[in-house]
Amino acid sequence: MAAPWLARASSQLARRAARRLLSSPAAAPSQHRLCPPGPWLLSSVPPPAGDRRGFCSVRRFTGESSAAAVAVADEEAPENGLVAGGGDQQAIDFPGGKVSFVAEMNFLPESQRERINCYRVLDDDGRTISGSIFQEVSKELAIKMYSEMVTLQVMDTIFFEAQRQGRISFYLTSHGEEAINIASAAALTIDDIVLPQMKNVQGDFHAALNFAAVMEAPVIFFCRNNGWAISTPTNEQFRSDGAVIRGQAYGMRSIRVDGNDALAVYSAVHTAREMAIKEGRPILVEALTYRVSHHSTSDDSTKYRPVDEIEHWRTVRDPVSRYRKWVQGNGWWCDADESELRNNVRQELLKAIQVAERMPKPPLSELFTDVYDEVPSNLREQERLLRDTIKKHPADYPADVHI
Amino acid sequence: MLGAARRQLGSAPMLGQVLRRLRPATSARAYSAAAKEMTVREALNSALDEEMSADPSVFLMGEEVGEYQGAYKITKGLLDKYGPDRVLDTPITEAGFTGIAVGAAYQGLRPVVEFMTFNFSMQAIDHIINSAAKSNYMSAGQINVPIVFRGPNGAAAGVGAQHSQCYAAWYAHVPGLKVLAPYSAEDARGLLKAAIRDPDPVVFLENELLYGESFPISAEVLDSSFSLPIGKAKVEREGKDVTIIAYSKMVGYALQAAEILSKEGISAEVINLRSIRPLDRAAINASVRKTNRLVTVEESFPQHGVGAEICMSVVEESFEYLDAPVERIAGADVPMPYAANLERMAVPQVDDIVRAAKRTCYRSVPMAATA
Repeated sequence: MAAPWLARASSQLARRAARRLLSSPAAAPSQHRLCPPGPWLLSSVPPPAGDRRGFCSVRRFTGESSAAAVAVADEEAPENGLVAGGGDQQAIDFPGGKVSFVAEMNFLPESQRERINCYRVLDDDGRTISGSIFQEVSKELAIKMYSEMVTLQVMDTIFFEAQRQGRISFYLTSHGEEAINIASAAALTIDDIVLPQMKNVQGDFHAALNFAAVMEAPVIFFCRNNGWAISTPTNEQFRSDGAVIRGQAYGMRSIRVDGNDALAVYSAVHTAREMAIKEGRPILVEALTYRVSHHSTSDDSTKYRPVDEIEHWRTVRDPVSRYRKWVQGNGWWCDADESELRNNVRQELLKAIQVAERMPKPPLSELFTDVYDEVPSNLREQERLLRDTIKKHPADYPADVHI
Repeated sequence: MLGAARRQLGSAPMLGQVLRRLRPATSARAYSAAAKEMTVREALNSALDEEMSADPSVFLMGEEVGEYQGAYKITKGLLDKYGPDRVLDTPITEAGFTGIAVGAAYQGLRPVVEFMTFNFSMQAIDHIINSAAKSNYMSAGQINVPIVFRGPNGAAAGVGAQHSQCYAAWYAHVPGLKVLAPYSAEDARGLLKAAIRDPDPVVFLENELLYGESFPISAEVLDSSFSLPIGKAKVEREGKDVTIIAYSKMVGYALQAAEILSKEGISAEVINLRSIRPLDRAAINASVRKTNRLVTVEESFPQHGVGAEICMSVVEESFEYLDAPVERIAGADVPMPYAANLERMAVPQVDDIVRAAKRTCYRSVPMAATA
């Protein structure tokens, strides 16, 4: 496990070292580099002077930044460090790259006039939009994707019910978001590592994107924007144009995709994966969708949004039926297949629930094991005391915890 | 040990008495007398070096650990020796790099994460506790996290409220974490090696003011296979009248207090906890059963601190052995003042320990600290 990670890290670091060489004063200055590599890996950090207390990170910059060294060829760098940029514009090589000056005071607007466009392939009736570019899927893969979407839909219904019946304690459904779950996974291979999270964008999301961009890690950051964080709508969560716009802020390529379009999600993730691997870069994918379901079994979303809004997205915008229309349009699916699938899936799930419910609950020892690699003495002691108590008062001990 | 006594005494006449009471630092094995000295900094550096050499999956991460040689020079020379694959300089995002390190540990690597001080670990505490400490339990033993979080903890000198907090009680509260606090160079070497080899997440609380302190060190400790057991306290000084329990820098203060007390006919036993979680309750209680009196010493805030846990352990197991109420010496219950005179008043001094020990011995002394 360790070796491939280190090998990849090595090659990335080797690439970075090579780029550092290119941008050093010794190398050919013909390539104009806007972004010197890894700001914290300055090639000429002077040795620390004396016994400084260094608990605040302090960057020391040498007199000559690497960007200065790669000034545009033919230009003589004037002594004051200014580089002519044409006309009466001037530029200076601050750390981080050359920037041109302007005399007007221009604030960047807080938002673009238009939102970032959304990639889609299938129209609302499940027909491919003419001129659309997408990744072809075989009949086998198309049917597999559809079957999994249906399975997810049926599973959500059954398990939501099970929670209401008190058979499980908590559940979150993915109604209206099935295309995202399945199509994104379909575009990956079994060896790709998936780290799914139910996490609204915070803290280490930003650190992760920043890190990945700087380290040039082959990672796909897949952000499902379903419009809600429990009862908080997105316009109260952030004022940027969704998540996709943040890609550029971190120096990362990004795309916005129609999350209810299984083919678009599949294509975008497929392409993102290729880019990530071949180019050694992270990609941010924002899939727009709508959370048809309540946040969880503990939530009643009719309390904070109109019922007809939910209904609209549940019916007209349903990703499962939309994709089904496309699969059927190709002659790969029919109504008989549909009833058979739904029936089989339902039976399979009900059977799985029965099997799970019959499984014995964890025994008493499981309470104490795996806190650490080895059970510590205090827990061994507690278990011993507990077992003694159980022996003395067997009638008071719960029947569903096996000794 | 002998070297330490000599250092603390300063004057020869008491030496004979002291030597009779002190126990040799190493066991009965016939190692030559401690001729070598080592600073805590050197001890930590050599431990990291040796463990990285022995196991290629061990790597370091943190701010300034590489090119800068470490904010406190603990990782000096390691980037040159092991290269940027094994010593990673990170951007200023504890949440970011701690998350990455824990993820690496999930995949079988053995990261040693440096926090420039443990105050900054609060930026990453969700990862330390929820991503690291609880994973083995939540995964029924399938995801173990062999990670070490290390760095200076507690008060330094003049670094102000936000840079002076002690996190021993915070992290020792959590099942799934191990929490160590070395005092001497031997502690630093042995405990850090044990921490790196341990399959569980370990919080390793160093002390900035101890980095430069020198301790005598035996040949056994210098061996690359040396390690100390986690969860075992050390009796630094044997005594029979009162037990003084401390960790980290306060062990030094406790030893000084014991010296002063011995001149007044009070024989203090000083215990260096070494391990905050698991706490060596057996050693604590064995000592209190012997002396019948207890003083706990910590530099951190008093409420819900390590001293409170030690006291409770003694009340639970050795209540009838106590001849006096337990005395708890801790820092003042205020954010650390910046003004040097007030800072001095906000942390325990040797005199505070001496007075507390005397109170347990019914030598009535006013509670208030001297000006």
